[in-house]
Amino acid sequence: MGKKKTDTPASAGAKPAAEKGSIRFGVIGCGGRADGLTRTLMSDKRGDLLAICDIDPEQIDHYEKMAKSSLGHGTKHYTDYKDLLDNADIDAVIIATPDQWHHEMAVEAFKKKKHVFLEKPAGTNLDQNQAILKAAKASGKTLEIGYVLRYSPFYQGVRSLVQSGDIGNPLAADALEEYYGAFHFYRGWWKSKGNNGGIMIQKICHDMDLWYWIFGKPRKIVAFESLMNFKPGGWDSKAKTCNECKNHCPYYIPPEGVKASKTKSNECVYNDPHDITDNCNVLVQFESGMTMSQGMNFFNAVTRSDRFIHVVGSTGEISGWLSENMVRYDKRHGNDNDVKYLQFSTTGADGHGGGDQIQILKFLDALVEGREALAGRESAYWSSIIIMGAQMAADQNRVIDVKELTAKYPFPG
Amino acid sequence: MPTISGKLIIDKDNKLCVKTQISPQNPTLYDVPLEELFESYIDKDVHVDIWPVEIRLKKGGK
Repeated sequence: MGKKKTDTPASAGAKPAAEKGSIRFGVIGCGGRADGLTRTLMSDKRGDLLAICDIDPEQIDHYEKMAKSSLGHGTKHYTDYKDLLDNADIDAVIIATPDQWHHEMAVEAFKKKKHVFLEKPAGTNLDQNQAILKAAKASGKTLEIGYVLRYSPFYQGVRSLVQSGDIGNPLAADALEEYYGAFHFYRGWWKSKGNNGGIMIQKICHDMDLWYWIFGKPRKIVAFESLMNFKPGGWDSKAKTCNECKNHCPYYIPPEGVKASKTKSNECVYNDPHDITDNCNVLVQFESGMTMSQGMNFFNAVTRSDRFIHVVGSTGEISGWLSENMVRYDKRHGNDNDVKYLQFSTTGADGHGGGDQIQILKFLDALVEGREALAGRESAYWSSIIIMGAQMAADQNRVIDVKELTAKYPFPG
Repeated sequence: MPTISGKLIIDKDNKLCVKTQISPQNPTLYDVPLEELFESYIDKDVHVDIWPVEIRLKKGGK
């Protein structure tokens, strides 16, 4: 574990949470996201798991077995997250519930003086985001949002290349995320915009957080989204569920697989009513004047779920795919002899480019050292301004001037 | 078609090899002979891209 400070200044009220070996966690929402985080934190001698909260007894049982296997002791079980937060022995919580509960749970956790690792997004609108940030500041406790890509060697490398001046001044950028994720995005809670704020807030918040981190504050935002494929007519079937379908599409889940799926539901990804779109494009102008486009869609081939970034600078440009963990560098006025590939370190892990495992360990670092996390309050603020501004731009069909948002929702400090 | 990256070497049997990981999860580097990489593509049209690679970050995260 490194002991380097991040470039985020220490929080005024933050104090070291605990000595080594005794940061005691509770997990609220024992699903797939918290699974990896919990395994990693239990593998670190500073992390302990005291309590778990979920309404699904099978998930409680699964996490209990994980804890006993990793730590040699069991955990306290809760079905109401407020009861878990009342447990005074818990220093920090991981909140990994569906998005619509992030706001309420995070605010309550800060009221109970817990440090909070909150899965992204930080609320589903700017009112909720502001409430989370104010509660975090008032508590003096550490907040980290699950923007795991910041911790991937790939994006750390991209940021380093941009900020070191290796490509000169960044002039333009474009990025793409493709995700073969219709299996769960059109089933269960994901399918409702009311639950997650919309595709930009739910899906590309990771990406927009990176662009704030790399390129700075935004000035103007415009965005478009539409539902092109995952709607009636997208597949030759009129069934509303997989169970009743006679013409199985590539997203078919057999009855025995539904229980093991992320959503535990079997709605037809084409015919079941949903208001989550399947593609979007966001255009951001940053304060520097630089513009950037970010695309996202669910249409890719199964072999192509990935993220791409291309940054053009005044002296050179870089481009690369997250999965390849390297970027191609081209010198602006150079020739073939100047082309090279820059490879970044691998972590031996592949969740979000290796970021999944690193982030929770860095969160432990922040708690031990009594400082803010890398993806802390300031990140939660500016990233939310971009992603929620983008969703607002698409919803209201207009260009969003960031000054309008920062005037209504000033950074709580 | 996989993308292969690694140091180009000549192994003890005088074979041209790429020293590379065989999966993201396994950090061990193996000497993979070029003929093994290409043997399943013999008599097919292929696209081969070779560029110098520079290792930029030795350690993950920061």
